[in-house]
Amino acid sequence: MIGFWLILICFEGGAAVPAANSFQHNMHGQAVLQGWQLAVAPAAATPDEVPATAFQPVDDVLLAAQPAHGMWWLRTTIELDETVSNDRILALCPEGLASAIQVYWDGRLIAESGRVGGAGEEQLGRYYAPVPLLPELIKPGRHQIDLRVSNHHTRRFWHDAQILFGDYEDLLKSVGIWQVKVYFALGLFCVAGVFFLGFTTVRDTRFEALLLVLMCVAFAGRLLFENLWVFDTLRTDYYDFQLFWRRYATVLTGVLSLAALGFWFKQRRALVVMMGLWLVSQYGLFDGLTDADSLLLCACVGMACVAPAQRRDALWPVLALVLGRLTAFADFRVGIDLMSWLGIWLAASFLELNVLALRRREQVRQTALLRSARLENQMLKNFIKPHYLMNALTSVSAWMRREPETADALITALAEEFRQIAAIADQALIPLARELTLCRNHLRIMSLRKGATFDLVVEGALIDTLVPPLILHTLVENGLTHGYETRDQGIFRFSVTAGPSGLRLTLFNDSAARADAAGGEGTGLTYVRARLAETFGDQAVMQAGAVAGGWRVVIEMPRVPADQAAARRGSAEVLQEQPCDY
Amino acid sequence: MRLLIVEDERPIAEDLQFLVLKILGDLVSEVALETHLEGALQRPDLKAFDVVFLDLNLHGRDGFEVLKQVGACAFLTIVVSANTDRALEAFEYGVLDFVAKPYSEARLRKALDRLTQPLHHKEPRYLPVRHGAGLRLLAVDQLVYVQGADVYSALHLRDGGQVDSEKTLARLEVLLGAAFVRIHKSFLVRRAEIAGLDAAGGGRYHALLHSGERLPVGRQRYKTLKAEWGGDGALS
Repeated sequence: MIGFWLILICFEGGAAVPAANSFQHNMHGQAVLQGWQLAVAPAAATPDEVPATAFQPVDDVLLAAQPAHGMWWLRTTIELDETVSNDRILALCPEGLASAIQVYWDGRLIAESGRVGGAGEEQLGRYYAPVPLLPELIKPGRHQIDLRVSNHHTRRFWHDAQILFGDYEDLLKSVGIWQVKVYFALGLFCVAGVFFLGFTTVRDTRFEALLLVLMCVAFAGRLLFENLWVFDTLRTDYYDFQLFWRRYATVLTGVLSLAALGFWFKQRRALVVMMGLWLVSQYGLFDGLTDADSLLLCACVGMACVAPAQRRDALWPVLALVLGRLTAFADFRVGIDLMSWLGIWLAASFLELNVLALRRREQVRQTALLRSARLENQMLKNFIKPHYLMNALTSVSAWMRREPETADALITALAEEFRQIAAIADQALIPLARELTLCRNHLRIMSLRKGATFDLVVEGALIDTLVPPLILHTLVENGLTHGYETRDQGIFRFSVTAGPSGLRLTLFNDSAARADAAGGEGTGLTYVRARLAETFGDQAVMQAGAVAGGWRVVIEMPRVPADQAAARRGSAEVLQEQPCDY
Repeated sequence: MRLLIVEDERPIAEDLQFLVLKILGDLVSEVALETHLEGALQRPDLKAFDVVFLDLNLHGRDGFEVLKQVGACAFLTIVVSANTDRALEAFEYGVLDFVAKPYSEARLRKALDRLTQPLHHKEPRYLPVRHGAGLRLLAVDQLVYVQGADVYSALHLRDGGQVDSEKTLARLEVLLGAAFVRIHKSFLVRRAEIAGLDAAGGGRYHALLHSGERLPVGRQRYKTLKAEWGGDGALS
């Protein structure tokens, strides 16, 4: 297997390999030696002892059922012409022969990988074992190469074996380069996987990120199955494992990639289509395509189904897969299979998508914070607007001249209102009871100011809940402004009832507010709506309008018991809990 | 003097009443209270009032509509309001004074002083007048002189036109301030329009305007004017 890639490297796309093992001076790179003969001769200790008649072409032997354990002799000859000089170190490199081998050059033992021997004395050699040839061995003419193989460790002695001949340095270097590439690709999958693992902490995309982690793990595992030799092992267990899982790994990577795409873009139908196409392609209905091309095709079909709003995002994975496919034509890709390249690009595109999603979420959060700050600001400004303060002070000074005791009561009530509002200003939610206290206090202030009697009556039992600050206060204020210009008595009735989907808050006043007042919604109602929307999103509804005998506002909102206050401390956090629409 | 207080907070209205009575004492023949403007403007005796104290919420869209409306009326208006940020604009529409809330007794006294001793304040930019069924904002710089006619005044404009105002000459004299001068019991003239004075025979005096018009000048007022304009009768 390595040899295959190496040859691709050395002969740049497969220049014809000489049929016979004959080499000239200009020979460069590596070649797979051909013409191997195999003999089963456990008794022979040296090549000379093997009877020539025992040898058969190696392919014939391998086609038949081969014995697992034993000793074999492999033989071939190579022809070096007189131009092959010894200014470079040439080497022989058996790979994939288990368990131990001895290498003979013209009948002379030149190297051993592991230790050849019987069941007890054998030691496991290496998968890939370049053997340098000493300069004095390189002479023009025909040379005989013998390999003595013993196998008592693994179930087969032939693991896609081949014997290479070529430049020693080249043989060492190219395997190194290949190993680096495999580990590099593996590293990319691991890094992406770790990132996605981090993204599983983001609430909205927890499941998608988990799928992406699994996708990276699958790609990494598949990469190792496809490049098992990188472990330089001859143990059969590995190969059995590889043999069994290799196919499933490819299917699984495809399934996970497509699932990640489908779930990320929330396209169930597209997911079914993609998955169907992929499984059909994997289980043989269209054989013409490679795995990588099938995956590319399935993903493109799936992404074409994506909703127009997400089209721009969907371009990222498509672009990544196309780039991955184009990698096939780049020199550097040799050594790593195309499916893995596709996986690397796909993981990169998902990283980009996650970053985009995070950036959008951050924008949404910032906007929410800004809006929240604006509302808070509006609330305070509304309260401390000079108009309110100046009029209140005028009342104080008017009462002071006539009834100092009343002036005193008004000052106390005003001070209480300022204190309360300053205390709740930066809170996203306050207890309902506290809100009602504020309303009562405000009605007391206004009663004293207008020389009128305004009262708040709470009907029925009070339910413990949290509400956005000053929503009722604002409604009471609004009611007073618009309904009592000519009256010196007023009653506000408040009730709260629990419904199936939350609470129903009703505030009624017996004002003379006209029905047409609902047409132009004032800043007061706008403030209340904005506060409710900020805190509860779509879950809160407010209706305001004239009813028989007065004006009524009904707010439907979820119940937030006081003990959940900690969980909902910041209004921005509350907002964050709502899914963002990408 | 008859006063009307328009104020939606009754305790404040009563306080204003109390203070005005304290300041003006016997000068006041009647103080009426109204909680809002619609009620006040519908009073059949509206024309009888000399001064209206008005709590004006200029934040509303129609704050200046109200100013136009009261500006065209016969009475003089003193705004008493917490919305001080637009007080300067209110002056441009012919409000006599703008008292910020919370007010003090001293500040109210100063406002009421304006009724009797016109201060040398800047003239308003506009004078609201009735125009057919509606209202019209007259630009004061178009005004040359005013001729008093008992319960109303005729405003003579630069273009030769004439518009009537419900306000008496005395009230306009208070409102228009130092740029205008009373030359006769029936004539109020823009100082800058007077080209010269001449004494006709028989103790009759005239003021010559740049437009060529001659307006009668009262004998007592002639002396004051002459002192102001110099002995040769030419504008100094």
